[in-house]
Amino acid sequence: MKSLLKLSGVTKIYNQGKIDESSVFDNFGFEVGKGQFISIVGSNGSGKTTLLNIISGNAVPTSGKVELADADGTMRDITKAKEYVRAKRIGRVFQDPSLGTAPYMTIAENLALAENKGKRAGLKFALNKKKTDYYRGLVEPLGLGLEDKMNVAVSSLSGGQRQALSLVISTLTPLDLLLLDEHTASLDPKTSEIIMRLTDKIIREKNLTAIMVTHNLRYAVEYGNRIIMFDKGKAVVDAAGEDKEKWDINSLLKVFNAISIECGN
Amino acid sequence: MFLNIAVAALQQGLCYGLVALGVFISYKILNFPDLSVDSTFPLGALVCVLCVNKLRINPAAAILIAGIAGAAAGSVTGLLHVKLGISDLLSGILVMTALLSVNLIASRLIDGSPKIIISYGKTIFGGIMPKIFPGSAYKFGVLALLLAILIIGKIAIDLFLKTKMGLTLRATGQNAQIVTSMGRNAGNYKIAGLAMANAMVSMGGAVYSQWTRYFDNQSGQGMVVIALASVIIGCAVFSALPIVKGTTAVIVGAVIYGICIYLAGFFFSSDYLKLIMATLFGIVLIINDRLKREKTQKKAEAKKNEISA
Repeated sequence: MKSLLKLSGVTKIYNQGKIDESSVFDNFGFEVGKGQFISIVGSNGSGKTTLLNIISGNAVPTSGKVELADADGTMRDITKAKEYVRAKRIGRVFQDPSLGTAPYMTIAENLALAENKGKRAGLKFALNKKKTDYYRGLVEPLGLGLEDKMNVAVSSLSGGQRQALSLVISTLTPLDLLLLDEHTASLDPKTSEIIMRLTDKIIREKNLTAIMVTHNLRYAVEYGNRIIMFDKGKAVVDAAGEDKEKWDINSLLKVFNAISIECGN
Repeated sequence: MFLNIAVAALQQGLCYGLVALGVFISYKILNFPDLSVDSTFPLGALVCVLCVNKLRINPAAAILIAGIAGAAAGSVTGLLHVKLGISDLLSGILVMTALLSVNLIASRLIDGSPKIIISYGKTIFGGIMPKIFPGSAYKFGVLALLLAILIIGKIAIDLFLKTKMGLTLRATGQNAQIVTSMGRNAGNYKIAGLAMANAMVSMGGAVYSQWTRYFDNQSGQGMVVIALASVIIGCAVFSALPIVKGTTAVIVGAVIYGICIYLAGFFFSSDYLKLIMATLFGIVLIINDRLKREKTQKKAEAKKNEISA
């Protein structure tokens, strides 16, 4: 399998030199193969979100290297690349549905914003009838009724509708890697299920490489082709392909509880 | 007599319109409380007056040049905030304070005086205006010209906000993360937005200087309050009518507030002016807050009914 992303020797220390100094990663290494759909589970503070932040460029590692494969497969050092530069190739959906959309713009306007990703933002009008129809076609298969609300402000949509729209927005243009940061955690169980199925569908259809952080062990087991459990900045479980199939909720929960007892939780 | 007061009050309100449009961009679109307005307003007046008096530039062109000066000042506010990490309020205050001195130094160096008069014939209100609108029609001509300038400004902003760049600017004010996620530098959009906002404010100052026929560095004092009040009044008045564009709403707000101030100045000594301005603004804020609370309450009740139904 071709490598897409590689972290080597990554150390991340928050508030270095201060009294509340805390180390999340110490000399951490991690490799993502092209086409992998990775589920990451772990307790709070185990480093799941920090990992996504380091990959997206939202957090800078204290030391270490982050590399992303070019179109021709050669690894390029992106450790110093700014978040907005990396965003051209790395998409992200957040736990908070409001972070993935512009709330006071309409659905059509939000999708126009997404379609223009990577292109020049010139002085041409962003919307016309043809484009709105095209965008309507994009949200219709979601089955959430968004196609009838093209000119409605996103702020008036429900959390689930917004998160579905966020998914479409972040995967509209070609993408190398999709980061999902507990993206169903703030939704009710039923909506959460809908969004999770939708996520899986989009990842399959677009053949995306994805890293999903989740607290839902069932999702971690059911979806994806690689599973990782984090504890104190280390992967205590890392299983891909057939190995992954051996894990179920119970066996995963056993490891998870063992870790938690060690922590005194 | 009454008509004259009404027309003059209306003229004053329209003069604030461009400033309100500028603050609409920074406060409403970018969600940035920009205080540099107090100084970019007289900056525009100064640049305009100097262009007309010293360089003999056409007064209409001078307004556009004043806009460029305002854009430069606005970018400084943006750079202080985005590149040097100074908070939004403080970057505005820094530029406001420094620019007051810059204006004074420039006017003294170039003209030798902190107050500069511009002759009537050299303004956009002179020239052919009295010929088109002779006698008593003139005051309506001034009114029409001010209104025309505002409408041009309003349409320009409305059209811009519908472009790809305009869409990104709006997104920057609502959720900077989405702009970053779309692979764009949100900081640069903030700087550009502030440049645009202060260009409008400076052009407002330029028009105002031609209307009052002099530059006075003090003229910008309290402009932030006037403009914010206009924006908030306008948006509150039309909050029930979402079809009315924000740009239209703030122009109406500016006219309402401008008339109030003019009448206050008419009935009270000028010592009271700022106190009255602040009081009016305070009342507007309180009413606006009540309206908002009622609205959210109604929404919550509607939702409750929906669930129980």
